[in-house]
Amino acid sequence: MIKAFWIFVVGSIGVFIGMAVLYLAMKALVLVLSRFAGEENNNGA
Amino acid sequence: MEHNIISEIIYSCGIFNLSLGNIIMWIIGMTLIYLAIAKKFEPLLLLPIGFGIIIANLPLADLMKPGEGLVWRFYHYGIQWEVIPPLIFLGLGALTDFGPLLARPSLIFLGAGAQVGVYITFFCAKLMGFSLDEAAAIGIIGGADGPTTIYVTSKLAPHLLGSCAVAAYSYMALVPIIQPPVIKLFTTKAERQIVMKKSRRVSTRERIMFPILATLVVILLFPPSAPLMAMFMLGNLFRESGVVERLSGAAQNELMNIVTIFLGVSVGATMDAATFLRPQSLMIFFLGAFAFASSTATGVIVAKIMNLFLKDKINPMIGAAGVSAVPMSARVVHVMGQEENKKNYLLMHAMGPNIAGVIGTIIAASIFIGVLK
Repeated sequence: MIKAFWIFVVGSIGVFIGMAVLYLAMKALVLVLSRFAGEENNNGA
Repeated sequence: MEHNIISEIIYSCGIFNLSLGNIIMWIIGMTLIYLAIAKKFEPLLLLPIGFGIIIANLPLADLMKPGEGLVWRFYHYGIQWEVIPPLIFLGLGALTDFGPLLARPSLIFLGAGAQVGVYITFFCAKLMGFSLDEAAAIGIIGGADGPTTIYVTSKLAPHLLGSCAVAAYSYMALVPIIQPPVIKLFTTKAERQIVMKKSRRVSTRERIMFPILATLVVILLFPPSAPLMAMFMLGNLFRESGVVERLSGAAQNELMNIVTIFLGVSVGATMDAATFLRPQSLMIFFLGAFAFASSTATGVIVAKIMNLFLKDKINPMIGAAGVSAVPMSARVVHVMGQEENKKNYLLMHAMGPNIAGVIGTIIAASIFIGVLK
């Protein structure tokens, strides 16, 4: 039962940590791509 | 001599070996076929599952006899070898538009929120006397993702495969009945009326880069997720790249349809009377409904917590779409939003957590497999 409790706690937190890392990666992706897009626009201008 | 031959012929007839359990299982199989045809309850799965149940309970047919039976071969090479669920994910990836999630990445946390319900159900199942492996297979039903449920159950508790798969697909069909009362219980009228801002446009580059990025991030963190995650994202890359339309089409249509047939029949065929007709199966169905309800509740609660920190408030109902059940739960949220406020279009907003829920369920499954296998 103790193991089940720890899986419950660690699993719930683990999913959030995984999603948080993916969130940060997505934000970084958006940032990098928007920067490139910006440079392209500037070059075009 | 003649007497022996006659008795051998009689005893080799299935009808003389029929048990009450077989007949009850036929009725269950026919009920699923009825629900699939008459009520349109997940017909693509429940129809072959129902038929699989009937043929698995034909005495002496030996369709599930290890090493010999036809359906056993589908089951062994398709499910036990872990081929079919990842192929289904390839098709799902090709069908999925990650645009709503990329437009507002913070919605990813709602997909994580709904997984808390998976772990609550896991703990409750353990309290009710199931083993850790069985409890994990039951808990993952709350992720509302059929292929993931089948994948986890076949790895951790294969004897529960039929019950868990039928519970998962049946309750997915019942999302419009299970979710609204839970959503209403955890939200106020004012919250349900929140109108969300229109999402930004997502570039093609973002769409193409996302599946590669998500594959790297999720599999590096949770290696047991690799079979499902890799195929899911490969399918999505087919779709978004725009250069392999034939592969994308094949993954979405022909391949997905073929593996769905084998998946449904083999899952149904695991439900023979001896393994299914137990009080345990009823408990799994009860816990499956609880799993859906608790995942819905935790998704909504996480949305409410997020609203404490967000400048542009989100409608907490979209947290309920954090259970996968794509796109059914997003549609439920949209309809509820329209009932509260005619100007509220929540469908695309709810699709974000809905898709995030698929990734969340894969991660939750990966944690179970990593810890218990």
